[in-house]
Amino acid sequence: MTRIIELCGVYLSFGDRVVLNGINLVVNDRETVCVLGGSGAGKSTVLRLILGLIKPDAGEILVKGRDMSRSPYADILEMRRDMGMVFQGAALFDSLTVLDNVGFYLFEHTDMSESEIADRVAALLEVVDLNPNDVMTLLPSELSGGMRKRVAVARALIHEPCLLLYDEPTSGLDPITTRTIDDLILKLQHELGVTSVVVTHDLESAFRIADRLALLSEGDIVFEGTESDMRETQDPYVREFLA
Amino acid sequence: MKILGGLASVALYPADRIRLLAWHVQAYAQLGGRTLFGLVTRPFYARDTIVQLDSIGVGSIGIVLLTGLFTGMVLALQSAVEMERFGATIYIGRLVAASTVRELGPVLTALMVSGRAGSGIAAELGAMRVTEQIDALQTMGVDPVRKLVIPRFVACLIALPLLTIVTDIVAILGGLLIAVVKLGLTPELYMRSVYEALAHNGYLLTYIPVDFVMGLVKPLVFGAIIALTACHFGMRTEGGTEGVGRAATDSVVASSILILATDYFLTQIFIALLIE
Repeated sequence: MTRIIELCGVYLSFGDRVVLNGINLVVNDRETVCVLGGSGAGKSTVLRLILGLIKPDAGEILVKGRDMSRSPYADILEMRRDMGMVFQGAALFDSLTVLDNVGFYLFEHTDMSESEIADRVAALLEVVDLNPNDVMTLLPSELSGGMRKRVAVARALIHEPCLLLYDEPTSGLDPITTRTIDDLILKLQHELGVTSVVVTHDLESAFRIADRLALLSEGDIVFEGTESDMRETQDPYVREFLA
Repeated sequence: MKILGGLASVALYPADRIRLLAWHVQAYAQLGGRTLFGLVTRPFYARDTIVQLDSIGVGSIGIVLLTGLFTGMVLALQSAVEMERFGATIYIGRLVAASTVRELGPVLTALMVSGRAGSGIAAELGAMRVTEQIDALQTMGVDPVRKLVIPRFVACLIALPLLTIVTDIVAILGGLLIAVVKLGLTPELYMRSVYEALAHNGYLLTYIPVDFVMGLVKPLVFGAIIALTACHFGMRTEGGTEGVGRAATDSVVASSILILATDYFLTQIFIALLIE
């Protein structure tokens, strides 16, 4: 199986606080891995490291075999074009419409015409269950929380990345919208063959979408395995987390 | 023990401040270097630059007009009080023009733009930072320095000299208003005095008054200071909405101090190079 992401002995601290204490994690092609953990466990930091937004104090972060932590900035920008990220708060650009937000990558990096981009954006909005005619011209402030998340997913997908990273995709959403987002993540994995890393503390959601789960606690990955492995383990921290 | 711990933290305090200041200087210099490099390499964001030029330049015309007008009027009024004693009110135009074109025009314009546009830039970029919009840009393979900093930098470089010319003209006209209405001078006499002031320090390349050169090089430097300082504090915002407010405040304070200090050194250089 092709390894898309490899974290090897990644160590990171902010001042005296150790955030990641030499963790190892592998994500294979077309796999969905959920990174679980309590608040402040360093889950979002893992995503930021994979994206090369921060550098580890030690260890390697390989994305398709290339080290994100040691590559020059221009190469990192290039490598990020294979990735899409859905931020916790959606991180849509306030001053741009949904069309400009979702089509941002294409406006920036391709010579496609505005109408071609609009067609592509409309098609993607339908994939994320939004009506393009209703939302294309709206600003992010005019969207509900669930719609913002779905627009963020569409934006992350516009350049057809092979790797999607989700930071708490269902936080703050009602159960129905949460299920819609979960179904969307599954649909993207099955229909488009996207590899996904999902950071969440929502266990129910994680069990629904994950092929494998990794549990972070105090800078270490204390558990890694499938849902059934997790339910059967006798590790006291995992039992407490599940309870 | 508690008292000793408190004393230790007080003793460490200046060291921490110096370390923080050194970090800011280093980060500021890095941002400046990346901005200058980005000016001469692709991609360029012309559309974003025009939007910023409109926001920073056109948007500041109102406050700059008012600043220039009242500065010129106050200068004329204050100098009239002293000059009347010596029967030298005919030199009011000279005083207003010299002080405005050389110093007050560039400095006051820069301070006003720093307060209005600089704080806006820092707050906007700060909000983008805390809502992860800058991270989102980076994840889409876009360099935030090129996309966000350079358009604002170029806009400030273009806008500041133009706004300074507006301030200078309006201040001289404000002085004219007071000279004619309150002091009974003729417009011709006042304007001749203004011309003498501008010609006083000689010309560069035969036609360009040295004072005018000084008055237009300074705003270029001030524009760079305003843009870089605002972007530096904005891009490094931490701590949510409180951090955004702090970034805007810090940006205005730092750029104001830098503008005033740089003005002194630039004046020294100009005097040494062009006047002495």
